[in-house]
Amino acid sequence: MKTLKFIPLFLIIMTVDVSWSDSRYNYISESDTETKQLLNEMSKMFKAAQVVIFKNLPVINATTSNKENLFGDNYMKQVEATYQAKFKESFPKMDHLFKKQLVASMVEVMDENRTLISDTDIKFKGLIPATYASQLSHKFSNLGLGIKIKFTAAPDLLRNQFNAPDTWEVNTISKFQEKDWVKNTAYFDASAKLYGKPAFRYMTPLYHSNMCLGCHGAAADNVLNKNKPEAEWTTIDIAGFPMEGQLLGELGGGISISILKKGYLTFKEK
Amino acid sequence: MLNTTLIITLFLLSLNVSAYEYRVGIMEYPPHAVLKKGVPEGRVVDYIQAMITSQGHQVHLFSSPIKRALTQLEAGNLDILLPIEASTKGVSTFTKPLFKLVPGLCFKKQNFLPFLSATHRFKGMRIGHTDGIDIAKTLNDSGAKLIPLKGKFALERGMKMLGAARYDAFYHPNPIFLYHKNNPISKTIACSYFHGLSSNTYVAVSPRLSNKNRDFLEGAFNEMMEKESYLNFFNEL
Repeated sequence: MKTLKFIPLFLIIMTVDVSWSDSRYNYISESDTETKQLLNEMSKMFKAAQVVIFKNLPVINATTSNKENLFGDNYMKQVEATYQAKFKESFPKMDHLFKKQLVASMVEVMDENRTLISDTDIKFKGLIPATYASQLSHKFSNLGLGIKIKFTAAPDLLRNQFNAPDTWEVNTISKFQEKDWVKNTAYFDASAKLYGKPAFRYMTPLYHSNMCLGCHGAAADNVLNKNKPEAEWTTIDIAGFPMEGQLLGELGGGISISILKKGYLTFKEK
Repeated sequence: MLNTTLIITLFLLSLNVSAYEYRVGIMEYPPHAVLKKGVPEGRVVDYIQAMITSQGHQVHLFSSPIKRALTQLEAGNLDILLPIEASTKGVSTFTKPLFKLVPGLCFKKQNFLPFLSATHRFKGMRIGHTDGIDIAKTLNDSGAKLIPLKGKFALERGMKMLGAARYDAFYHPNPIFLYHKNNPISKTIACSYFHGLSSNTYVAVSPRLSNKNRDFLEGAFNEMMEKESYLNFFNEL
């Protein structure tokens, strides 16, 4: 009988609905320094993923179907190893939603290209570092997380109108072109705007490496001219664009990342 | 003895182990979801059922025209509704999209163009499309000869005509679900995409669904997508 007395109390305890909170996030603000670090890491992850595409071009374009190293965890292992080799540091910890989603998007872009990559009839698939970067940017930016990545270039060098720079990006590219700009230095702006709303913005310059010159360099760099006499060379590249005649190490464009402050300043993943 | 049994019974009843039946609205969205004698079928249905039943819960499927379905969702008679395009106004959705829509062009493999940003290459090409469809501006402005195809099953007929070289290319609103390894047409046709024109489709959620149930469903959805994206699931057919 004694025990029965506690039943009402027991029932009350069990029926109280614990107020819901999303345990994935700490509700704190991020500092400019933390944000800059995050954006720096994301830019480098993006670059490493592009390099992996470049290294794998022979595999991508091969007319064989077994290419499992380009998908899922196998692909990310390559990105991580490339990141470590290129930047001489460990691949970033997956301690932020944006980094996790960027990795997920990298894998998804490869999955979305699986049919093309595995196509045994098409010799040139068109998945090159630039198109991968463009696809990755669009995919990641459409997640509705309040963060945008754009693989862009100065208007006179732009090939894909969907990657056109906005005013902030045009101005930042101009800074990169100034004589006293220290090469490979990114630009961070903690009081910028995106679509008229307060935003953190970060852009890292991209300089032409050998992987870019096959399309953006001179006729001598054009893969279509390989093993052909000079008289037969073309300045139209494999994508069908006129080559820009750019040089090794010259500024080609940049990776621009923008985070809307509204929303972002209210959460950070644990 | 009676007291002990009562306490144990109450304790078990208070645990949240009972299966919940989620009311899932399915929009007709070929090839992902089709109605067969009024019953929704397709990979979207399989995917969402697998997601919910794997968590020990049950699914009750509904299907109705979009307007009515949205009203039912708003009223709380449906818990979730899918697939819903990003352009649908006034609905709350899971953050992560179910899949994305990217329009593109399909070619016979020997004429394949991988870069649709090189729009100057379309000049003079005969590009078929289903009549009344919105065509990407970049294609409209390219100097291609755009040929509308009228009538029923225009997309299917267009692909056959492409195969018969009646067109140089055919515009498809979302070719990723056409050009995949399990579709025999992919032996002769390949497609490329206008990536900058992508839009998403989502799972819409009833505003009347409790936070707990909403978070449970969204968590299950994210978990499912991490294990296997809908795109991969679709392509496994």
